[in-house]
Amino acid sequence: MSRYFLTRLRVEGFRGINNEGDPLDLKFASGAVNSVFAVNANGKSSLFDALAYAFRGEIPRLVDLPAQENSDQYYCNRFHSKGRATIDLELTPDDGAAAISVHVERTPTGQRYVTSPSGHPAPQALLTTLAEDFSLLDYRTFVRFIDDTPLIRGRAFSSLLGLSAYSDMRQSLQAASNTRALSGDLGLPGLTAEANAAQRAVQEHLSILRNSYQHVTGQPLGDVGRLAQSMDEVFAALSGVEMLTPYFKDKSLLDVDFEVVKDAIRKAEGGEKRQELANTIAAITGIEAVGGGDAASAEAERTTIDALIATRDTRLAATRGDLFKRLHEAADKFMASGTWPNPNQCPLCLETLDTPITDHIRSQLDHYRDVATSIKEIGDTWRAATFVLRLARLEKFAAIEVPEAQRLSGALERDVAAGAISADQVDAAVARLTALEAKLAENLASLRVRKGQLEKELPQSLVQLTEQVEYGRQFKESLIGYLERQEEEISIRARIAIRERWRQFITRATTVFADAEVELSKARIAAIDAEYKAMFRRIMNVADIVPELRRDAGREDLHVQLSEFHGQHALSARALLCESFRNALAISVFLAAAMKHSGAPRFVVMDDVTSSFDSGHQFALMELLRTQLQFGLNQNGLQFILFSHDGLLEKYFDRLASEASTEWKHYRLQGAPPMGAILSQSQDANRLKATISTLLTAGQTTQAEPLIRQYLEFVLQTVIRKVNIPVPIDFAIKDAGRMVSNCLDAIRAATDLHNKAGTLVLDATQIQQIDTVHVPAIVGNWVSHYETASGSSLSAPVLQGIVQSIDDLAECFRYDDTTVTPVVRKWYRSLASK
Amino acid sequence: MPAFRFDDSKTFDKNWAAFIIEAQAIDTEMAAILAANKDSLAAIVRQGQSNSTARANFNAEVVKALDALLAKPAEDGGTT
Repeated sequence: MSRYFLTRLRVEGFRGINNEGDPLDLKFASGAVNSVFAVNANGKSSLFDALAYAFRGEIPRLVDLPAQENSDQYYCNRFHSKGRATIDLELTPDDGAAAISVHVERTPTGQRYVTSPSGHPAPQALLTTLAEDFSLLDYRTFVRFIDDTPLIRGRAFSSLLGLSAYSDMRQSLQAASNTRALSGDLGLPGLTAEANAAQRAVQEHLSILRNSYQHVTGQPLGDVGRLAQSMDEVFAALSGVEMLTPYFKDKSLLDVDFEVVKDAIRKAEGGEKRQELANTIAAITGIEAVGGGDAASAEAERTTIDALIATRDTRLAATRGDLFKRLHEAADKFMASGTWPNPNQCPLCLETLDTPITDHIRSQLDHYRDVATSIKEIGDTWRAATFVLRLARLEKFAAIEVPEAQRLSGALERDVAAGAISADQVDAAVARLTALEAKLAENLASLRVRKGQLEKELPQSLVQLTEQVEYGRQFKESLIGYLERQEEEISIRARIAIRERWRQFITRATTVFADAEVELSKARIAAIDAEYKAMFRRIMNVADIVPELRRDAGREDLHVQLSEFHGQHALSARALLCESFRNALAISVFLAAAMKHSGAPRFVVMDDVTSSFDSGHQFALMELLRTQLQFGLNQNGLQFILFSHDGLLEKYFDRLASEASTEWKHYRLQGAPPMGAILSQSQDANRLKATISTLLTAGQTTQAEPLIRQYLEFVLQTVIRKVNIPVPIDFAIKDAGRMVSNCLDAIRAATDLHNKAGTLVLDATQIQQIDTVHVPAIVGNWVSHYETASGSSLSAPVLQGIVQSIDDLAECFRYDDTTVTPVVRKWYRSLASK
Repeated sequence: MPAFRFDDSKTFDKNWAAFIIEAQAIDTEMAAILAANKDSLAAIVRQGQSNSTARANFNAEVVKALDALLAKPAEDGGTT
């Protein structure tokens, strides 16, 4: 598989890089360490963001912003007239194949387009393969590696090992198979309640079937599996009655209209008592269908619910109210943002803790989650409880007639849903049910007595016929209900069964995946063991401090320890090591892992990763990259691209780039983002100069002025750098709007000093031109107008003259080297020597 | 039977495919549902950040697939 070097990057209209019509253009060497230096707010982070957007399609820190900040609107440069961002990449395969160019564009409305001018068939897929965890790294990644909890570190380490896809998928599987969440997501409690309700309905219908069958046929119902035969027997019994025969002829039981039959009987031998008898029988069968309550079951269910309520109340006592819950949730979010530097210090009271405050916060939030779990368990148990369902049914049962305002069921359900149900309320519910059961039994007894009286008062034949017809009707209706609800129950049980099957599957599959991921991670840790220890020793120049990475068996936790610390063993690295050592350890681990990586990117872009190092350790790290890890000197090495704002490190970059140009390539960014252009030191400044000339020729002085300022700053800083003119320590952070005069002050102070000391290497003409021509021209025509904002704009010819003055000034710091043929125009090495 | 292991020389996608084959030994039909919903599953945790909405969405997709699996024999003329 081909791996790729990043050999060119061109950016326009993205984040702080405006560069309208003139993209910032950086060419990187594959066989060298590449460095890019810029003072703060000069486009360095925008370059890193551009690469993140090209490879990953997003900028993580924008994605992390709250939705109301509309982070989508901050990808394109806000001062680019077209509002369109372009990122051009050149990727060179390490197998000698031709370079591939990829063009990434983001429109003002946020659409992303990826094309390949060189004709690659799948440029987006290519970019996706470059989005490995190694390709883009920043300082925060390393800091968090040490400071995070073992669990978070373990996950971050998976990323460093190139295993983040495995780690993320493992966590996804674990989340998807989490018992508590899975049951709810699959709707199992609801389905179980539905199935139980259907089952109860089936039993009730069956009870009515048995009762009505016996009344019609005089025989007990046999095998419920032979209901078709039972139906025929009921049909035969009724159709055999002479008076009823016409209504049953050529029909099945299910087709018989019992209301017509009853009407016929009424017409044949009418009377109020016959109708009352029919109603009484219907009321009796209705109550019989409800059946009797099960006091023992109700008591068992009450005990279970009381225990759950007691657990909830105990858990509730461990919490501190809703305000504290919101405080802890906010604190958890804040700590997760990574903005708080010390994980062992409370961000509110600043107290230092023995354990990370996130542990405390999450422990507190766990109490609230436990309460929520209890409430859900109570709710599920309550809704599935037979006595609760029976109470609701009896309160609505017409034969008892509990007025709606006096019913307990609805109010109790609301309290259960709100998590506020108490043991006393449960007791009240059971007591109400007991009272209703007694009332139901009393009503049934009264109805049976009345039925007996009516049967005595009415002719026996009519009583029997009326009873038979009524029970026949009930048999038919219950049979229909029985079959429907039985089918419904079967369907629900099947849905429950297949969900249980999934639960078993996903649980087992998760275990298989997690075990394999742990083994893969262990293998990669073992593979880098010797390398990261050697790198750490070299960067920090220590032999008696030896770090050790240890992954827990079967878990993601990764511990960082010191196997050796000045003769002591197995100690905490986080507790003992200072910040620079901690970061050196993280960088060593990362670099060792990166060298083992075999993914598509053969480059690593690092943004400000040495911020915590002093110059000695910076040097050791840079030398490690330069002499051991870079592809130029190590055929198995990587291409490194370093972004830095560190002024000391820049001197090292600059020196290496000039003295060892095959091993190191250096850029310095200068410009005026986000409105103006950014130039790289290696870019041809004449392009900027040409643009200025074009604008001035067209009389567009207002548009040319910011470019002139950039050009002046660029040339003056080039002079300062080339001849090693010292600048104040706060030079780079002084008011950027006064940078031209800051540079002129530094240059004049240095030339004056050398002149008075008699060490100035410039010839007399150059000195005279600087003092009397060029500096006065620039100060008079630019500094006094634009830096003080006290004058009106100058004309185009005057501004053109300023550009010429700055070029002439720069020429005063160069000489013709006549010792070589042909003669070469060179910069003085310093103000005191050629 | 040796425990399933990832092959360090293969890409994640190839190892995922191997894992799905291993999962088929647990339950072929369930493994097919898992494979078909890989993208929804992967959305639950991205770059270490867990998303409970994505988890609920994944399980909702699984529920749809399970119910479709139940309905399939009836549509094919079989019985559930």
